[in-house]
Amino acid sequence: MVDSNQKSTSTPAQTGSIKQSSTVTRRRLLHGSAALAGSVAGASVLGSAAASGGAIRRPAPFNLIRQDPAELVFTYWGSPQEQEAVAQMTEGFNAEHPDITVRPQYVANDGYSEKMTTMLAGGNPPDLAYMGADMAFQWALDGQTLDLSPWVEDDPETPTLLDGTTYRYDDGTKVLSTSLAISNTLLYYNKPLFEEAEIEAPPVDAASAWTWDEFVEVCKLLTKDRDGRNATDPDFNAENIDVYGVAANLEFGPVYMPLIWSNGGDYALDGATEFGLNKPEAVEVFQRLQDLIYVHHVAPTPAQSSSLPSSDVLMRTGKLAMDINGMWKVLDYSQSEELEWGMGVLPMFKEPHTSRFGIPLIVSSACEYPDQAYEFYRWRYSPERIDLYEQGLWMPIQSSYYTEEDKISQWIDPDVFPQEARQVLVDYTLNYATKQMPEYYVKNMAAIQNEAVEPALSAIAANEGTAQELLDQAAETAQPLMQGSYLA
Amino acid sequence: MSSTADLQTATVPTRKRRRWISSEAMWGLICVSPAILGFLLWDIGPMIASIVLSFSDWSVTGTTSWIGTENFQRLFGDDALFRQSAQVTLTYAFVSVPLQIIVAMALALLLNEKVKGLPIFRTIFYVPSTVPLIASSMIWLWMYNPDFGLFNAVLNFFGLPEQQWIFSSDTVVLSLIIMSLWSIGPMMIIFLAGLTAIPQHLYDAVSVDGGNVFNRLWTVTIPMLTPTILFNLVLSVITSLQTFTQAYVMTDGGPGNASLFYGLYLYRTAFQQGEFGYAASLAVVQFAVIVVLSLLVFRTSSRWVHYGGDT
Repeated sequence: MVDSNQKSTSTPAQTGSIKQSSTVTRRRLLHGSAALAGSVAGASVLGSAAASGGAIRRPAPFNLIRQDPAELVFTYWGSPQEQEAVAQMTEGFNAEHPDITVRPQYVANDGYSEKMTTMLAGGNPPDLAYMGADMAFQWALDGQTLDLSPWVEDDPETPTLLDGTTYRYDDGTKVLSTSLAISNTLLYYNKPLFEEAEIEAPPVDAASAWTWDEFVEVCKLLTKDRDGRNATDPDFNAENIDVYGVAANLEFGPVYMPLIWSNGGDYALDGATEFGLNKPEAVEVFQRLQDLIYVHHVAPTPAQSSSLPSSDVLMRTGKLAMDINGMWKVLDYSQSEELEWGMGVLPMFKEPHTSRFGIPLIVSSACEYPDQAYEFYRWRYSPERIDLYEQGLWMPIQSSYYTEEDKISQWIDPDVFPQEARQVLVDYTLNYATKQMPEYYVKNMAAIQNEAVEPALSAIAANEGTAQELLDQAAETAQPLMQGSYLA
Repeated sequence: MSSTADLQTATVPTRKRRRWISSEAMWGLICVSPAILGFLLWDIGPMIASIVLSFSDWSVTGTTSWIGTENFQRLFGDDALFRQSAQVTLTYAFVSVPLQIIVAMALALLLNEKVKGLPIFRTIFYVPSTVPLIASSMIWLWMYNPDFGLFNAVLNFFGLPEQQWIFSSDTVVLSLIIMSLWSIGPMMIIFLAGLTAIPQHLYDAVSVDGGNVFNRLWTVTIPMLTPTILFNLVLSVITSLQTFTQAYVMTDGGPGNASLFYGLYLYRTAFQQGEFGYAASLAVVQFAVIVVLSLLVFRTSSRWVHYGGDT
């Protein structure tokens, strides 16, 4: 793409030459420079699609860096803390394995997939890499990732992994990846605001989860306008809200999927051949989420959210009472010393449910040392080898870290996690995270999301129609894109 | 041939044999060669690659097949997002380009007057253009905030109803059109340069004939500025048809697909869905539209562009 600013910078100089020229030259210059600008702009447009190279598929290049010991390039994203923790993890691995050197290659979150694509197009993909599910499955189907099934099936550690943390494709016969780590979805809350309103803290036991109506009632009691009236007060001024009851991003899968499951619905039905979000169970969830914003006025609109700070800052400043978010947010909440926060289970519709999702860690099919890559792959399972578990960013994928007390205490650090983490993270995940997120089994998910779901959800969030109307429109686009499941 | 050469030699005995290129031209070419090479390698090269790839299903990861015109059939057939993004982009271009030209010209006329502090005013109007588009997008995101943004505060002040601006599908494109005026500084400078090149005697002639300000504008300024208008028109048509950053940063194509600009759709198709072949066909169509519109402007320019004394 040609940035308008880039183009603008060249034009005054061209004008300078126009001024000094004769009129005949001036005409030519004007025509010429505009035509040249047109050509360059056009070329840039075209270049945008081709700039990542014309390579179609190339064999792995001879890598001069790779010598004994086996060197593996490991590409990953993350915050500065994650960057440092992963670098430390690889140092630990390298120290224990003198015959293998893992070289961490950090890439910023923005543009990560573009850089991965470019590396592949250039014939130099990393040996191991974090990868978004859409891209990972596409790479796997095209043979760019190693089918890990021979290693995973031989690994005595595999049966100890939580259900659903091994991502499969090709009718479930091949293994794309095991999850890097996992997270669930939960309800964070602001203790002082609950105490001030004399409301009991959110339930930590899934069996006692609030119903949606109970949750809405609590949200109303905690939402206040600038005159201190809460949202149950007939004089409540919805145009002038000071404290929001809840932040719940209805466009974010980890927020809406557990609620849809809780209501008996799903993203895709019938072997992922049928679009599920316009079914009554899902529609009800989106409508209720939309109502939080526009009917009950207890959650910020997208416009308000766009200019508000993050939820942990809002809580610290007393402007937010509850936040439906992923477990990784513990890292932010725990680092805010002035904030007294806690956690609870999500409200439910028909039955309690949370999510369980993670990031695929792929091994490239061009990797020259697959055995060594898998050695690193399984080494990073254990929370004692990387700080990100006890810092509150990751949850383990091995079931023993949810069932054995000594192992639970290895990652639930009482200095970081609140007391109720034992129920809300450990028990809740173990017993109520039973469904797979759609990106791990629905084929053609990127197109379904881009072309149908995301436009509909942004319109629901902007109150441009009812959930039923907008999701029915989405279904018309999505249904032809449904191509079944990676699992069967 | 040899007889002609002999004749030339005979008739002009003192003339040295011409080198195929003069020393001056050679040095000129050497000096501009980096730019020429850059253009060939980084513009023409990808351009040709893109045209070739538009006839394939290239996805970077998988094997590639040549699929003829299948991409173009899909594009003009059942791709609703192609139509939506084209409509959004063309609406934006057809409204924002004339608006930008009119406002930039009006500002240039004002800033061409001999008033005190003129350089300061010129700087003030140019400075927004120096702000990177990402940064200005963030600023405008705040100004468009329906709750505490500047625009709704102004509407409130005049007792007018508040708007949702970029947060409503009804007003999002209009909001981005208004925002496009933020970066008209360079266009304004070009108009200013054009204005300073207009000979004073033409204005004197209008004054002698009893003409007023409007006559000066209509009979001298605008006709003499038409070459500059042509230049700005072509450039801004191209720029507006390639709008990407504002939609990417501020709206992500939403709400719904109300601000799904063509460039954003192309980007998503390539980098989020991995359909590089199809994205290349989108780029080829965009290129063709830009070329056609540019040619249209050039072809009609002889009817309305006035090159001073050269006609």
